[in-house]
Amino acid sequence: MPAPERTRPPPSSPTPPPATPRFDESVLTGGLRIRTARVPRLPEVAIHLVIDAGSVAESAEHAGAAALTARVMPAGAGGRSAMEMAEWLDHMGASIGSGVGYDSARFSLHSLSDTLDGALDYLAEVILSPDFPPDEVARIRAERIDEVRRSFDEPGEVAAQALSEAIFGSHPYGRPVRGRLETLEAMNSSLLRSFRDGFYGGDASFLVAAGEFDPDVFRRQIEQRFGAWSSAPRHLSVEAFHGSAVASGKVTLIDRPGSEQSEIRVGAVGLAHGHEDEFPVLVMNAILGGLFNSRLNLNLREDKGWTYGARSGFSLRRSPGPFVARAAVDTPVTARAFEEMLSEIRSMVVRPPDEEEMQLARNALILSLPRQFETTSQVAAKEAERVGYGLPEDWWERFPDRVRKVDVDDVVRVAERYLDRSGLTLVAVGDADSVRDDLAALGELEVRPAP
Amino acid sequence: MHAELGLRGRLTRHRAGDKAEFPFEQRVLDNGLRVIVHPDDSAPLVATHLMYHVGSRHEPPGKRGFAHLFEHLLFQGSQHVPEGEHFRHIQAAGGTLNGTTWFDRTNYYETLPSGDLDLALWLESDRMGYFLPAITQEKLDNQRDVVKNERRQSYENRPYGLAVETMLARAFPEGHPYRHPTIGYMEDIDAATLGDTQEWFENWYGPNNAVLVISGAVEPEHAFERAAHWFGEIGRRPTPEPRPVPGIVNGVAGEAVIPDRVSVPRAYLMFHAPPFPDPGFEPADVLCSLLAEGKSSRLYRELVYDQRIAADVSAFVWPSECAGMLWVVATARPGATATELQERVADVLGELRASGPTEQEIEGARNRARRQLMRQLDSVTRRADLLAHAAVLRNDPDYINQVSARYESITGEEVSIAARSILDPGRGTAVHVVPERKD
Repeated sequence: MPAPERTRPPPSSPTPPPATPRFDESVLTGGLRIRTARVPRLPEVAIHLVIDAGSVAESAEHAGAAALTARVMPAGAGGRSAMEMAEWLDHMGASIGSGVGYDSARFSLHSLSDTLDGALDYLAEVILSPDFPPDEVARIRAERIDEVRRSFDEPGEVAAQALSEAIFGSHPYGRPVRGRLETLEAMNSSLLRSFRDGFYGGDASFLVAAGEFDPDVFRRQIEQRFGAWSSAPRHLSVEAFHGSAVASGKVTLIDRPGSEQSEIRVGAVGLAHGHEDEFPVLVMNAILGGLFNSRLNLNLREDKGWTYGARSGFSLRRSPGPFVARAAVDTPVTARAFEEMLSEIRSMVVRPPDEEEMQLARNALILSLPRQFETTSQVAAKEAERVGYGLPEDWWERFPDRVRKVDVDDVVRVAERYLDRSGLTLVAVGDADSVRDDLAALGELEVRPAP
Repeated sequence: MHAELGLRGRLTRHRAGDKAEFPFEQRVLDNGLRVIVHPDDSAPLVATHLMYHVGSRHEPPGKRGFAHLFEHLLFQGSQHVPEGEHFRHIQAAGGTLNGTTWFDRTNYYETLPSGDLDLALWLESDRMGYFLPAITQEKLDNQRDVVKNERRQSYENRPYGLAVETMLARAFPEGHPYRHPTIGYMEDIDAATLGDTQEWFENWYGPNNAVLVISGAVEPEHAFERAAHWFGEIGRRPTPEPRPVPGIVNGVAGEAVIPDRVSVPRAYLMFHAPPFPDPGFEPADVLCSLLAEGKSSRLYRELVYDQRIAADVSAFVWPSECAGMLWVVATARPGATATELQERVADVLGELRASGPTEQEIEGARNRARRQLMRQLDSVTRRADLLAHAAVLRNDPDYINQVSARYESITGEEVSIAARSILDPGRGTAVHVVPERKD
């Protein structure tokens, strides 16, 4: 056997393209779209029921209503008490999660194939016949209030919320999805019920299912349970946020005395999912802070050793979401870490990526696709994402080509467009006595106590 | 140098039916490297997982955290792979990678398009064979800083972040290898030298102290041939006897109290339990599911739902090799104390020990455990992980094919026995994290 050639990386052999499962669609009379794919790998089924009832549907004085509604719904339905519902679900071994974001509410059901029928009965009760028992609403509201208080203990969460406000101000994207202490206090059973009755409906929803099941049988099972689900009286709409971050050019410092590290964030207004700049932005961000070998991480972690990791990302939503660059850094280097972060952001324009960086980013985005469609849960989640953002059916098929077409000029253009210094806002959570003076040099400084 | 393929391992042939079963083949290279290949072509991916049988429990006094620091250094390049290139190559191929350190083992894994098996094997074999020529003081100093920031971010600056290490130091006696956390302590991380690095590598990173798992869209013969090609030339190295791990049965009375920047208290209880290779491990896992998984579980129902003194409660077992640990963790609602939580937990555990679980409860807990197994088995990456753990910690990679049936077979009697033997108050140790006083 010849000795291995170690001095250069071995060549790749051809990899066959992934077989992306095909989803079939049917629509119930009430308007519910059902998309199913059989993925016969393990005896499990992953289901997402997605409703246009995210937190942008709630008014500012009811911040947290969308998320609380979805959380209360399994706690008592069809005349069964919260504990009876829990016993039913737990006995099947299934799990249900409600994930409410700005744009939608999602109920995710994970079940063994052999308990699917019962799990669907359970899901239908939760969605169609929630009782909103007042004592359960009070209980879960109290839990949620506790959670909001506990989130104040987490410097990363405090930074994330402060940044959302610094970017979006009073726009719904500036509010915490989980709500605020004062808005949560005012919530009751009738408010949540009216939110649910207003925004939940077959025509405002879709259901995605993947796994080991018979799709024909499954569609009939769904039809039996959800066939009569009528349309929603109200439909969510939100005005896109216009302009740059409300606290552009400013520095918000939240004092957390004695912190060993500072959580630092640089934010800006990004773009909507499906926007024409999406692919240039994906490539640009991969180079800036999306990959381990990105400029931010190589500088702040691998060169300076100031952090366990620095990264950046764009949240793609129905209307423009945030750009966020983040790191938790050693307290004494807080201001210098901000300077390096800003300098790397600027570098995307003044030091355009070379071909090697471009190729790394393109390959990382394209060649990682098969990994993202491997498991039953991933397949279902990716389809729910695509449908939820109204992306075309051939979105994932065309994805590689659209990434390949991005060139350096595109990258520089979107860096200038979205990451200009004048539109950036800075947030830090850390020990104000140690970092206040240094941060004042970076922009107009506002120091606030920790919540 | 030639490498002969050694022992022919068992070949399990099963069809994927409603019990997920996974074929694999195992061979041992002449240099002692165990290679396990699990073919599965449902996606054009290959996962490689290299697990070294060394972790924080092998650290000598004064070197707490070194296994983990060393894991970081192993990503800083080797003789033929310049600094920074390891990540770049994997990411440029669309792959993902990581490494983790635990009490008993350190693992390095990557998942790539199936045509890039050689890339993973090149990188892994280069650092197994040719790491020392590439390590420098500068790299050590940089990663020392990164690791210290990891400790600050994930432990010191995180609410409740010091509870686990406090528990280990309390529940395990002086000299016990599980007495300290894998992240280690600042003073020991500061004290690490290049000499330690060389010694650690030579002692523990030989092919004979490792298992390589290749899972995914590969032909087994091809995968074994490539493994032998890349790793066969690396020589066997003598591996020291690890320090013996004394069996610990009894807990420590009273509780340690940690003031922290938190708004509500949290109680941590830890019971000495069967370790991962013990047949009592799975019943202990089902016991945890029955105690705290799902809103109808015993602890959730009592503490969160009925008494409303806890915001959350969880119970889990750690799959450690030598001494098992069953944890119960409850976070208070405002107004409740950690002592109250602990007393109420003790009541629930006492009732369960006295009267045992119901058949209905057992069935639900089993179903939940089975469903969670799907998550452990659903990707080539996770299956490689399970195969490697089963091979290294249990010396039985075929565990991957037995585990579903094992969980399905667990009886109420087994869970009762687990509850009575593990949840003995005398075997438990407590740590309370409480809000620090604001002066």
